[in-house]
Amino acid sequence: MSDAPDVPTEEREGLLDRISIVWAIPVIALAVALFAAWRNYAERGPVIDIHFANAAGVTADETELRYRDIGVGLVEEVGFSEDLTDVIVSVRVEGELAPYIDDGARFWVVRPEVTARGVTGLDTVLSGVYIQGAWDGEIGASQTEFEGLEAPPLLGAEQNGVEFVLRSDSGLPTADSPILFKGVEVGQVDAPSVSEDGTAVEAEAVIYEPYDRLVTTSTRFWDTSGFSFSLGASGARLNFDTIASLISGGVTFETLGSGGSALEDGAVYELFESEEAAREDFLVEGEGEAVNLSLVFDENLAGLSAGAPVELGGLRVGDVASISGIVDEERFGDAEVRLVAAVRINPGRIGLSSGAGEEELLDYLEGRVEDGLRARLTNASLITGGLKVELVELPGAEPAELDRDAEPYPRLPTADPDVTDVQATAQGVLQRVNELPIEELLDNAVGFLEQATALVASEDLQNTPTELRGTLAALRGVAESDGVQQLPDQITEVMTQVQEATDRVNTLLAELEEREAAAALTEAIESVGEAADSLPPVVERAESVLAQAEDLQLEELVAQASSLLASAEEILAQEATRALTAQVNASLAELRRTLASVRGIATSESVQSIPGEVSGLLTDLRGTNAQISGLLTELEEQEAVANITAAVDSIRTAADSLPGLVDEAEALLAQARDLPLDDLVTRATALIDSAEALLAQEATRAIPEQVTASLSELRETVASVRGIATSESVQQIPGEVSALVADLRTASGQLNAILAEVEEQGTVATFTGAVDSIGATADTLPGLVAQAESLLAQAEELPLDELVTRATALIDSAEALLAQDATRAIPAQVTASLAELRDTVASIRGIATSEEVQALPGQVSTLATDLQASAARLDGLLARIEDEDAVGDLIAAIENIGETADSLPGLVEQARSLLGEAEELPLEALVARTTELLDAAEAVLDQESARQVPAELNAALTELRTTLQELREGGLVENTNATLAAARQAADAIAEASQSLPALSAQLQQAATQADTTLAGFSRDSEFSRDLRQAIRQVDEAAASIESLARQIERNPNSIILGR
Amino acid sequence: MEIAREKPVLTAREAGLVGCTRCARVWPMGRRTCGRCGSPLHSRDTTSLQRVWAWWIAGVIAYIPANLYPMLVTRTLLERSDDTIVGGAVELASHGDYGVAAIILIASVLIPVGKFLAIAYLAISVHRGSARSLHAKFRLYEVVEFIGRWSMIDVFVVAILSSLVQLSVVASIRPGPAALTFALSVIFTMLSAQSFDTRLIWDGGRKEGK
Repeated sequence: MSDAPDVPTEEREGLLDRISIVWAIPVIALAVALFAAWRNYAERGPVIDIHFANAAGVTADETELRYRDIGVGLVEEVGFSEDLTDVIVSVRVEGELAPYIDDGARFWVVRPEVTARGVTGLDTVLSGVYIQGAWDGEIGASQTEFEGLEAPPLLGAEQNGVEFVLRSDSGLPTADSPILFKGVEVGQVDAPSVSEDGTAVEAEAVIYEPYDRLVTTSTRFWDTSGFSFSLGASGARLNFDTIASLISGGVTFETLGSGGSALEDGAVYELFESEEAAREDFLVEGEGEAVNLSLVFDENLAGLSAGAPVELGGLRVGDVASISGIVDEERFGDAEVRLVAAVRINPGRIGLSSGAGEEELLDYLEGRVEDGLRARLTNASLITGGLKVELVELPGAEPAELDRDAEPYPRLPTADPDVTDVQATAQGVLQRVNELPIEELLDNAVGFLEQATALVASEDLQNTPTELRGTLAALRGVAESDGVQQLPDQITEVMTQVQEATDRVNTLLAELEEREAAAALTEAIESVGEAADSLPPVVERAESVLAQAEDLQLEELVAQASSLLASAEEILAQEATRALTAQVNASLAELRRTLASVRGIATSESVQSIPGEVSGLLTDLRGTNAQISGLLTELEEQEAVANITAAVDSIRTAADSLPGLVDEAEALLAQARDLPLDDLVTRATALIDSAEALLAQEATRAIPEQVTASLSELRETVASVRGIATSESVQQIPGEVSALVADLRTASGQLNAILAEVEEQGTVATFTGAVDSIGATADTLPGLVAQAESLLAQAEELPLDELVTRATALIDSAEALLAQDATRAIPAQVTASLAELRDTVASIRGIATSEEVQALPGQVSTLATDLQASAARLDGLLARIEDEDAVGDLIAAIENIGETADSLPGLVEQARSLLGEAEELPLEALVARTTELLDAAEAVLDQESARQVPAELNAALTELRTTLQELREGGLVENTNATLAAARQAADAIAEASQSLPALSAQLQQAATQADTTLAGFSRDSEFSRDLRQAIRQVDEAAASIESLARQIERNPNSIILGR
Repeated sequence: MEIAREKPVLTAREAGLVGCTRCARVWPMGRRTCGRCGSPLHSRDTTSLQRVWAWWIAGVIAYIPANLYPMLVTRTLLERSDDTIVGGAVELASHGDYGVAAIILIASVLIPVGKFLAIAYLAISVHRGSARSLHAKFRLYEVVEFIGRWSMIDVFVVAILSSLVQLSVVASIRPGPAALTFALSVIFTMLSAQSFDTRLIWDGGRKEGK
């Protein structure tokens, strides 16, 4: 037990073992704590005091100090200065930034702000306000006391720019207005304040970098606040820059000159009200070299205002800076108030050298004032009555001089104003407009319109549509019938067939191409050309003949004719002739009576039976038609077509003789050309005179009445005809017509068969021959054309004007005639007749609506079907032509023509000799004979007996009248019936005769066969084809000349008359 | 004490035995490791007081910033508030929540401070070899041991709030720097209490009795 204290531990193991390792923990903890504490202290920046007038929202330990929106400090304390004038905000700033916060630092409190340009500082609504600091990036002397700004500065912490001052006499936009340059915000204007002297308002403004280089001393600023509205020649204009500038205002600028020094801090610029004002200021002020002058005007005229232009010879050289009054008894000798205008004049605008200053300008003006230069007031605007200052040279002005020493500015002498009163003139114009008689004009117009209304409302005009409508209804009835509507379908089918036929023709033409028919044709044309070469001498001969013909004494002949016409005129002038008209009147009366009789006849039973007869006749015709059908059948059987072909050959030979005929015609035309038509026209004119005189007679004037009476007769007759039309017999006619159509259909079937025949025979070749002959005939056409042309030339020379004058006189007479009462009565008669006609149309409509007529379209359809079949046949025929090498035949035929053309030169020779003979003809004798003949005729006409002819004519007319009377009483109808019966018999006879036609056709066929063999004898490669080519070329030339003539006439129809 | 006075107790050391502090097996003196659980065997831990003081000092150092810095950072849409332990309790009390304020004060201030004082008292008295009221000392130690873990209640509250109230911009709660140091302080205190070798209490009685 006693050794217990001796056993404290097992063994001692040095100091390290005795001290526990756990001690490291508190040591480390202490070290960490100390280190943290030291670091906290070391990093703590200094405290700065900022003085604010108002620190609303700034809270200790919460409100941050921010630099470029990053927190760099915290408010530690908010207190007051000793005199309680300021709020002192103590801010602990970060140590790193503290050295930068020097005397250039600015501080302001950022609060939420709502302006027209937007909302700023929105984040401070939630987080509370903060203090924004702005300082540069250079370390300066440390400072702990600062003055805070009341409002954010123009240039924020993150912006650079140049600050300057905007100055205006009138007003500046509100604070924070943007400075816009071409719509881009390049700066800002601070709140304006009144300048120290109270004459203007000033505002700090800033232009941000890099836009500051846009602004120089040549720059002018103007206000774009609000909007401007202008109404002018170019329409209404509403101008504003941006919505922001509309609400809160805005400023823009433009650098108007290229020179000028750059913008400097603190520079003062004028803010102009408008762009115009800014530009004008630049014009005057330029870059500051404007010279001030003063002008004293004796008259104090309203209208001159500051800014008014000062012009020299129409060029603006300056403006009025200010206006004020002056009373200076000593200087002017009285107590009148005078107008003193201070003006600015830019030497550069006058044209003085660019470096010219005040002295140069004054020297220049001094010289000019001696010459009479004066300033005077004149109208600037005619409408507003504004005035401007004009520098003008007045030679007769009183001597004066430039007062250089005047206060405040050098004084330029003035002259009396040149002002006109425009308003008075305008008022006079309006007065005159007011006095125009517009009401009278309107009354006249109203009267005219009333008359027109009455005309339109007349009954006659209104009845017309009703009549038209009735007729149209009838027509519609027909058009709407089923048969008519089916017609198109039928026609379509026919067209299809025709189309197929066309296709055939196309293939046929293609074949022609393949066989080089064109080449052959060309050769033939060349032959004709050679033949044509020999023509010129012939033409020369013809010309000489014509020359001889020209020498003939036709004039004498014409003279004779003239005297003949004179005689005729005399006869016409006789009284008997004049009595002729009376006779005519009587005759017309008779005619009227006869018509009455005819009406009686028409209403008689016999006439009523005529339709029945006609029906019978139609039945007979049908029988005849059947006969013809039979005949056609016969023809078919006996190959009559071949015969027809032969007949066509004959026609060709006949055509060959045509050229000679043409020659004769030519000669005749030549003669005609030489005739003295002029005299004839004169005579005709005289004749027209006589006719005119005749028309002027009373009897002639009585004619209209007669005509009127006749028309009433006619009307009654038409009524009778209507009665007939409504009779049963007439109603049966459609049925007959149907039957006839049926027959025609059968006939068309026959025709088809005949076409089939034609197909089989080589008719085409024959036709080719005929074409040849026509070609030859065409050769002579040019000559004919020449003749026609010369004839036209003659016609041209006729005294048509006179004729026209005469005709005019005739028309006047006719006009007088028309003016008679009787003539005027005619329209009424015509109207009545039209009424009758309408009734008749109604009857016809009744017929048209009858069943049989309705059936007609059906018949027509069937007919169309048949025609379709015929077309199919034709189609087949063309196919046959293709198959049977008809083209080859055609070519052969063309060659034949070529050979024939070879003989043309000989023909030409003959023509030439013929012309030679013609030349030798004793035309003079012929003319002499004709003259004699005309003399004789004249003598005859001069005889009394000839003069009695009119009387005879009267007698003859009397006879005619009695004859008509007899006719009226006699049995005309019976005779007519008998005639119809005879016609029926004749038709029977034709039927019989037609039965003998087959034999005839057989003969014709034989003839055709012969012709065919003849044509086959012509070889293919003969000279004939070459000749034909020439001939065709000639034809072509002739056609070209005709064409040019036609084109000439077409282009200028007057050329027929005028010759150009 | 009463027992010691009435009847001197034979200790293991006096009996030449060493008891394992982990599994309570008794071994003869001189054996270095426990044959059952393998832990080192000491009759008396001579470095115990050193470790107690070392942890104690570390705990005190950590407790200072735990009270200076904010425990809880509450950020709402409009404001941000940093609350220290005492500041938060005072604020709660000012709003009338005395109960909650008391709980916080007790758990975060009273208990840790009491622990520091208790451990310091025990360590000093053992160092001096005082023999008075040994049983009371031992009971004090047991209370400190038991109550030490509950000091973490404040840290738990912060951790739960931080994880629950995370409403992005509208409202969020984050632990402040004090939370970490307070937790460290509690841990250090607990380690300090654990390092204390209770057998030393009774040795004081022996010396006095001698």
